[in-house]
Amino acid sequence: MKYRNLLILIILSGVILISIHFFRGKSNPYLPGYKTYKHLYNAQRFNNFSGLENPLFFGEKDLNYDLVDFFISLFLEKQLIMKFTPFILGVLSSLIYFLVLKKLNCTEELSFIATVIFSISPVFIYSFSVFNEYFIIAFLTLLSIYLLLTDKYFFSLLIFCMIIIIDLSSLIIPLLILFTYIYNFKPKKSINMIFLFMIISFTLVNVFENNGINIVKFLNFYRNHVTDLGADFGFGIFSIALSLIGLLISWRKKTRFSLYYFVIAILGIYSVYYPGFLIFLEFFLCFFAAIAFIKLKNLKWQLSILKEYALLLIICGLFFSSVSYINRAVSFPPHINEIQSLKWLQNNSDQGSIIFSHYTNGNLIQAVSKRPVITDIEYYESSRDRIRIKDSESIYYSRDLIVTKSLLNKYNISYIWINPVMKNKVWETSDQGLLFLMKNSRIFTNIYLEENIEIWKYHQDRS
Amino acid sequence: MYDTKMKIKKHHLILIIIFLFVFSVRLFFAFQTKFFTDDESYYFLRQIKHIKKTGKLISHDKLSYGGKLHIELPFYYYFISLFSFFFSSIIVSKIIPNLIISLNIFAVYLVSYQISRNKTSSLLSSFFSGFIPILMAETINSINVYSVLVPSMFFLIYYFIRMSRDVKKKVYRKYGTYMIILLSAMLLTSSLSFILVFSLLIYLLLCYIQKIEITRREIEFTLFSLFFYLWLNFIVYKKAFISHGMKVIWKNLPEAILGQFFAHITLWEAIYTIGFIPLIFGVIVIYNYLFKRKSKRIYLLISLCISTFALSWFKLITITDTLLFLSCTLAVLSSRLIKEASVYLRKTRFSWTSKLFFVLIILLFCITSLIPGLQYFEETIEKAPTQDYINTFFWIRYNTPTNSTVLGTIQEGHLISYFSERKNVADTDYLLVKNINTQISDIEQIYTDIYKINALQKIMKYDIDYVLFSRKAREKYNIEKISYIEPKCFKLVYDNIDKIYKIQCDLKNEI
Repeated sequence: MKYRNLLILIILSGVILISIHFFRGKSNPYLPGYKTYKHLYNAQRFNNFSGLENPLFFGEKDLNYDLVDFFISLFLEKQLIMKFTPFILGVLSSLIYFLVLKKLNCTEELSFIATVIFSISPVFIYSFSVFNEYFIIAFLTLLSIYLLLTDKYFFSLLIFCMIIIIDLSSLIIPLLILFTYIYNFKPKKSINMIFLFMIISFTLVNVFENNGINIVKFLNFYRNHVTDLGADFGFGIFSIALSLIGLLISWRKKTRFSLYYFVIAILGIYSVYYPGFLIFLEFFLCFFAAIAFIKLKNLKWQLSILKEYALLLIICGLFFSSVSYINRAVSFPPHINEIQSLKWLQNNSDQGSIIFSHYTNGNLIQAVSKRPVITDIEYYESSRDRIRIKDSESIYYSRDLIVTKSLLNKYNISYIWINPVMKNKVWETSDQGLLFLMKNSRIFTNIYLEENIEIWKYHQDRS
Repeated sequence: MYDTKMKIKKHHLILIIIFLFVFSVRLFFAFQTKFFTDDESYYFLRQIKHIKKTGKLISHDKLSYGGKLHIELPFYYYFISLFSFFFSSIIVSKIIPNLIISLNIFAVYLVSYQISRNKTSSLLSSFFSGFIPILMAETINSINVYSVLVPSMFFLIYYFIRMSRDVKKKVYRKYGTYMIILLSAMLLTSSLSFILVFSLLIYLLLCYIQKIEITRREIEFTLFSLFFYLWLNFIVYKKAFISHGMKVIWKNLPEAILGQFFAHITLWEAIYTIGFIPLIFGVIVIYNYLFKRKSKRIYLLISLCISTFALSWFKLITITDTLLFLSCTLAVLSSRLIKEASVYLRKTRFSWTSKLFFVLIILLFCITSLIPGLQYFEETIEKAPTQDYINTFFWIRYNTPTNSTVLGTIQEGHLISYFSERKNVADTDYLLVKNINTQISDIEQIYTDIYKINALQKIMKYDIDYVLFSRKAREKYNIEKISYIEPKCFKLVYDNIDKIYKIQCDLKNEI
């Protein structure tokens, strides 16, 4: 029974994660997710021993290298590694999550159901199929918890150090783990207080550093991270509902679960600033969702047929969220036509030509067409004043040719790359701002128009 | 014992006669015309045709709005399609919906008997329900979800009453199974089934306030219905919800026509559409049992009335839906008053008038509801399109290229898709249409503008090849002709009461 459950979990998580690459691979061989290309580009830079500066960023900023990029750079087939590594770690994470719950004295049934819910959740699917820094941290977190619970303290601490090196903002994770462990298993009031103080301090520092938090921002964030409502990364609505029911059920024994509520609250706040943290929140939400499911299953219904149907609807709802998310994930950008257009741009433009596009496309343009950009995802996330983002918005929306020209000249832009995602995101109509100017002014020439991808050349010398 | 058996059979016979009478009257009116009164029936027929051909509903429609996605709850389409494999679609679409809605007679009888415990008053209620003006008018010559929704709802109410009453496990579990089947059919037919779900919630609340015992299975079924409803509608309408947000509740109705769906109704209109007897008798029963007496079964029906009213008040259902469900419920409730009145009469010295009382009720109903109702049905049938109007659409089909886009009024959209098999610019399926308000306004501008350039801009925007200027367009926009039409740019290719113009120029040449 024990090994059967483990086998089922391995197969389930494996099938779910491999299905994205399998179905995507039929029509699109490229890695999913624009942010993936940041890591690919950084890994390529490592291989070229190109130094710390990023020449493909206008004004040249330092690259933010991390261990993950270094790891990818060690391999020749980078794209294959970027598909393979998350998959392997995903399956292992699913397994370790089950073992961790067992170690915490959860029943076999609760552990199994929680792990199934975890393995089919959109957060899990995204984290372990679209290459990002958090999948490694999630795996290491689970591993460190398991090692801690099996009294292998040295290795656990080693992994904590690795987590901090990979991503400094994840410092809160080891703190939370150690606090929870000491509180539950080796309670010492003084040490508990120290950890509590550190956790709350770090949280407050993060909150104030990021302009504070209000309930509207908090709710909007979570509303925009429900995958069934269109979010690319977030929770399924059925698992949210089940988790809330589980939290309500557990409230009767709130003293037993109070620590988990505290951890959920901290992770909930952190996730607003670091969306990748949603995977850690998911560890807890799946646990409560499993509590709710088991409670519903064990309730005595007068109409037993209703009970069977209700449980069936819940299971179908959970799987529906997963299946519809996988369906969407298969079509995640970048698409073939985007990559082809960028390769065309690489072959038909000078090496130092600066490309203007939406910041989400920045890393992709750097990695594929090897041309500099003025904004990318990293700039958007790390810049305080976001001057370039504001300038970009002025370029998008202004119909004043003089204003647009001055901004394009400021950044020495030569080409403008527009894909359908950018068109939908930025403009409402086809004759707004820059789109209008490009169609009606001599200083712009359309040099590429295929499958809804447009490349325009900006002629600085023309009036 | 022989007499009791005979009496039971007599009532069943009367019920069957009522059913056959109602069904015959419906078919009589339905077959007065070979066309349907509303345009949405033709959308229905297209779906049936598609199911027959491919086994699936149309999801990506190349003809509607020039190409758009459809989202539908599938049950009713597949149900009607089943019959269309054996008979012609038109015949099936005229007979089957009328047959199903006529079965409401039995549902109303069963529910009325549960609340009145009197066969005669139950028979009267079922007779009233067969001739409710608004129900007849909306279902007699149209294919719509009311035909399934109304009888399913009352059958479900019947089983709900039986389930909550019977204490034997085997019996109430059996009713539970029937209820799930009916609930599934309802939920898979229309999101209007929320009226029932909401009424069950109100019922529990009402019982709780009146300190009436609620059985566990009633709570289980109510919560299950709510969960099932939310689950199904979320899954089916997810894309629409992402696209339109909360507007999905109103099916993305354009602002220009939102008002007419949620218009207020006068008392006189209510009497005319619901019927005098069901309205007055039903209201008296509601008053009695809300403020004076208690009856768990009647509270279920009162909850249905409250639910309909509340949803209408908050403009979550249209005035037609409100009147339809309210009228059926009031017809059922009226059986209670009829029974109590006849029992009271029997106790008085005028006990000999108790049978006459029933005859008087029937007469009064015939004078106040049936006869005016028949006129109402006639008017409904007259609204159906005429042959020469439909010939216009056939002309388009045989005389225009297959990938043409034809502009008509919104109400003609489905007719263009069905009869002409051409792309329309807009029709009455607004879900998943971006900027519907702009589109409706543009269509109006094309018909009513005085400047050719403005109109041509809109014509180019929607890639229109032909403009249908029909009698409906004249009536809708209150115009006799399109002001900017001139032969060089707009060639008159069909000239009858309805006119069709072919677009021969484009904006660049005209500027």
